Amino acid sequence: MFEGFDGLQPPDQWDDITNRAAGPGDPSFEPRNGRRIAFVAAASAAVVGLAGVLWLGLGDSDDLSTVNTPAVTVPPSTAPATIAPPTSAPPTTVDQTEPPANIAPETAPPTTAPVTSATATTAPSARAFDCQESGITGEPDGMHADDPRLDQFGPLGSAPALDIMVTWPDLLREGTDVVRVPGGVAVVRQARWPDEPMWALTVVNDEGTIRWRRCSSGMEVLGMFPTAQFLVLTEYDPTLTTAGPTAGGKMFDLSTGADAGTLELPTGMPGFPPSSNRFRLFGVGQPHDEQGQPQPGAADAVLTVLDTDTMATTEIPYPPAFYTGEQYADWIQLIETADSGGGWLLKQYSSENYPVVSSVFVDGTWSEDAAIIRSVVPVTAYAAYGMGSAWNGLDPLGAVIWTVPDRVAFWAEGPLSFEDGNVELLMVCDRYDPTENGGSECVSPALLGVDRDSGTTLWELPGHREVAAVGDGYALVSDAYDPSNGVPPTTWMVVDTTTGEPVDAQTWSYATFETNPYSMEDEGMWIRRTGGVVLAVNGQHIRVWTPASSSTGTVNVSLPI
Amino acid sequence: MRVVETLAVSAEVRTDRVRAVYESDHARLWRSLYAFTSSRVIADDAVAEAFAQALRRGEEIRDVQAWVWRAAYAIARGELKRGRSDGPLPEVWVDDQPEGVADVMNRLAAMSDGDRELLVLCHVGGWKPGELGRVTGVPAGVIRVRLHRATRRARDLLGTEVG
Repeated sequence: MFEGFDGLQPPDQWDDITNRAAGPGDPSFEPRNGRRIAFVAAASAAVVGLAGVLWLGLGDSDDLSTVNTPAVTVPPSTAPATIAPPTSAPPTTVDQTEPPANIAPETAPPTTAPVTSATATTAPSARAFDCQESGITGEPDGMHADDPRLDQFGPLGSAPALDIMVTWPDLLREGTDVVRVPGGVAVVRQARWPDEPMWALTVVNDEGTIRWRRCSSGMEVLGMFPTAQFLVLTEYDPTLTTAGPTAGGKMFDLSTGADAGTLELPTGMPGFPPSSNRFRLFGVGQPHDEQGQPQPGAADAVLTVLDTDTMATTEIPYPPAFYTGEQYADWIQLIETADSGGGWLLKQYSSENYPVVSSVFVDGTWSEDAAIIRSVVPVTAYAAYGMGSAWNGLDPLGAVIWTVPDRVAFWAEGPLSFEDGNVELLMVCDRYDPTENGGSECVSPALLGVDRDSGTTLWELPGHREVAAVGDGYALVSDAYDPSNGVPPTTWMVVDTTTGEPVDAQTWSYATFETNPYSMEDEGMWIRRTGGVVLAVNGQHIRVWTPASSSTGTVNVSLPI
Repeated sequence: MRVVETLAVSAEVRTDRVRAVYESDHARLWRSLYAFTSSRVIADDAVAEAFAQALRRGEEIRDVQAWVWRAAYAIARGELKRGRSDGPLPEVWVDDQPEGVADVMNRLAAMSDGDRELLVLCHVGGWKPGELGRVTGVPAGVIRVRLHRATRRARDLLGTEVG
């Protein structure tokens, strides 16, 4: 009954698209009618839905570059709040007499990273923006730190430690990101260009108090990441004609919210999602010619690893191919590991043959030696593109070490797998059967726990499963469900990834982590794990789950603007 | 889940990435949005703005195809809400449509936005249910559940077999 739509002739829109993309900062830009404003505001909502993609890369090398001066950055004030304080949020401060062990500003001066001096500007916003930087319910209270128990993922408290409901106006509902910071969470909400780009950044303490808030207009936020002392915010000016991020890392003091300068590190290198919360890799991309062929990189170009605990930076050369232009040499991933002296190593993937590793940077040098590569890069599970492919365990040079027998990879947006140390969690089917309507059906789906090195199946959970967080020997997994009968999962549970066994008293209703099973008409809904802390974001609703060992009940916060 | 990244390249190559998606997806994206909104104006603007945003954001976007579809639908949803405040979609006239299209669209208009969106994504946009998670950002299992329900309701409403 939908065949008739094939006869509809869409307009040719490319010229309109390129004109819109040029934007008002480009002389070639041709203003359109007023409808566009509303449209783009809605487009920003789409960006929210893409948070999982766009903002998983926060702190990625391609997110940081030189910062532009924001239109408004007013230092936080301790003046009386002009807004209602959060409910059930007792004012509190953290003991400042004993700086927590994992924050050591004296031993790790921030000047080791290229930071420019802080400047605060007070240019008026182009549109009324009632973001109250003075609306701080607690005094800036110095040092914050996380309890070490929050470092390890595992059994969670029975209820979230923090339950935040954002009650901000529609204007700022177009972009959300939340990251864990020592002692709390940072929440950024924003509107985007051309609907007067502006953002509000709030740090909420674990006790429910608001540590500080900063507001700005004129710039969009691409993302943020915390260090031990600072929150680094990546902005860009949406009116510039250049596509992609143009701004750099604007730093705020995590304790007070005060401007702390700009983190100036190279950007532009295609990055993999950060695999480390502590170390971050920055660099530029391999140059190329108009045909897309790699060209020699600048002789003085270097990669930079930032230690977010100490703000110390380490400059290292690119793989040799970067400087000769023989091949793309910028598919580089940083791996945090105790096996290398600095606490990290780099692996360079083959640009043509992922996940084959071309070289590794370990102990101060790049090496293409197979023995060295194999010694530091473990076997990884991989399924080739397309339904019906098997799960293989590949060594870093591409040799097949094992194959999951009699199963094929379950294919959703791609083959679904998750890593937890020596255990690979793999979604599989017995096979795919064709359906009457021309589709394919996964027969006997299951989630397997597979030993990474041997390929031995350690355990099996039958049925379709959703997996929300994995690490440190545990995984947050849904119960089995059959999508074809219209019944979603009913529960989430924490399972032991070495046995697949559910952990006692670690079950929640499905709605606990997925309060709205269908978010196409709403904002993004995602779950992110940082150490032992799980952030569950569903539009305006933000919940922070902490390990059961540190859980003391729920603090409810209504976050005002 | 592992994510394989796309090489970051120059503005020209970034444009090529978007242009390639335009060539491959523009027609079916536009048609599906027209089916979703019953408005050529909204379909035109949503498609153009989504592609323009993709051009502007460049390397920030790692999956241009999925991004454009999601952005276009978000734009269209927002405009529908603004335009009708949850009232009915405008009636589509038969005389400017291929045979049967206007009738289908008028019937689709009686469905909820969510149901209609999923149906047109699949049946006009050409996405398979298992692929829709990439477009919508919703887990594939949830999509299947929703699509199953939408199809059942569509069958009742449209009086014919759907899918």
